[in-house]
Amino acid sequence: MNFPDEVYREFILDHYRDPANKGKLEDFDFKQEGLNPHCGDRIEVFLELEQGKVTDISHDGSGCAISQAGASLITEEVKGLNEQEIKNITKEDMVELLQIPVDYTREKCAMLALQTIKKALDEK
Amino acid sequence: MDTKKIKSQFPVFKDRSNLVYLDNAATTQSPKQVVDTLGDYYKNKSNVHRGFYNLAIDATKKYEQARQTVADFISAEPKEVVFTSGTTDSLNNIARILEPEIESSDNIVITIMEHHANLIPWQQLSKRVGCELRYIEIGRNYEIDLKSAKKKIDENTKVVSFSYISNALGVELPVEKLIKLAKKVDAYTIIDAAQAMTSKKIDIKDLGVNFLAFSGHKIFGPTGIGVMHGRGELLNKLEPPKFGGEMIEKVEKQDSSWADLPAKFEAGTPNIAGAIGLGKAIDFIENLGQKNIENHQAKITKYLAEQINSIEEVQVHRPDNKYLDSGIVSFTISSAHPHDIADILGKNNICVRAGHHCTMPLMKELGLDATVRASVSIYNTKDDIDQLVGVVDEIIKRF
Repeated sequence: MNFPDEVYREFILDHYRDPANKGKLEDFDFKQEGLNPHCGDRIEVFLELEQGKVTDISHDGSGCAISQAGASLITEEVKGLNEQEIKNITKEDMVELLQIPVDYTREKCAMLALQTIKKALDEK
Repeated sequence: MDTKKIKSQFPVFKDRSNLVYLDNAATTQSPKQVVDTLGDYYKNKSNVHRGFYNLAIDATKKYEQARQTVADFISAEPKEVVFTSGTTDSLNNIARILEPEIESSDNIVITIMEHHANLIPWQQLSKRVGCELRYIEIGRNYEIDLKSAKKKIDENTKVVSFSYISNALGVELPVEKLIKLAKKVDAYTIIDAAQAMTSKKIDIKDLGVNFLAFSGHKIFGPTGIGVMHGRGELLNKLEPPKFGGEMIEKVEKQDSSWADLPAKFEAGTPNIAGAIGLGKAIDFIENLGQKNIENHQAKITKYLAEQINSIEEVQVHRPDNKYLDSGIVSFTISSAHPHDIADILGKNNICVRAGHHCTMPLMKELGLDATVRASVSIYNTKDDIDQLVGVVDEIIKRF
């Protein structure tokens, strides 16, 4: 059989098995739900902001390896960043963080957490 | 059945000899005679019903022959067979047709197992009319709870609509019992038969249902064609949901009257190639024999359920040893998400589906976000299942 190691690398699976910042923040300023209706991925992000900067962040929900690893990586990445810096994060940046090829079938999974964080900031 | 011989009739397997196609609940493959029919129509294209030249006369004959084939297939009258774009279109039409019959004090009863196509039209109708939408619950063992059905269907119930087979779980619903409960209170009965038409012999007269909906593409036919069957006396009485060409008797500036059945419910140029292709697909099914299809699907599905269930980490979401002829097995693995499983299977030429299968309220009820669904048809073999199980085993090792 062909196991797609280039996508399901140990790096991704590690983040999937044990994602950083998983769970609900006790104190948060904003929260936002994100859904991927095609495959049932579901995420909720919790944000704490101080003087326009993200001081704490977490994510909850369930999803595939790529969406969970994406949530783990991006929540680490945005800590300490301000709103504009977060809004400037692109799809290419997200792919670089994941370190895997992301084809169009998995784009929504890879982008779900970032998009939900951006939506939280837009709608706060 | 000689699976090898059957498989050779499907062009897709000629072009892709390694293909393991287990997504038949989403759509089935089409045999050569269906594929050829589509090409034949477009090589000799004409609109139907109004042309006085041979091309049009031929197209009309074939289109109406297809209607006769569908009617014979379900033991109905041809005038009661309305071609639509598919099950979704049929069910939306039915909800629109019945809307004037429903008052705010009425209620509509569906089941928690419904595909969104048999849920949202009723949900939106209930919002427009201001009536209650009730759900028959799922009991233990993934089956419909008849006690709940008895509670939900009452003297104010105007519509009872349900699927013959759950597309998400492969469970058969207690069709006859639900129709009986509905008839007792004079409710309109509707069956979404999208998943049932290959393996279940449907006889409209025996079933005693008011409306039936199904799609062509799930029974070896083309996409974009489906059937809405309605009882003649009802279709005569009720107003059409769509207006335009073909469906009129007379049009004046301020008023119009409608054509006889089935034209009344077929506004605009129909999917002519699709209808003819559906007729051919039904011929194909009749030649194979529905009993043979049922037996083959049950045999392979039994093997699938047993093999996948033998893996410790796998949870199968269906009753054991029941409803196997539906061909559908939904499962999850504790360590890997359905989307990843389907992705890795796909990269091994094994086609399954992952997600909520357009049954979000059912998934929520079962506490699931998604499942992997493998669904079997006449061309599947035990070897297909072995390949599927082999990859699932490897995924469990790696995750």
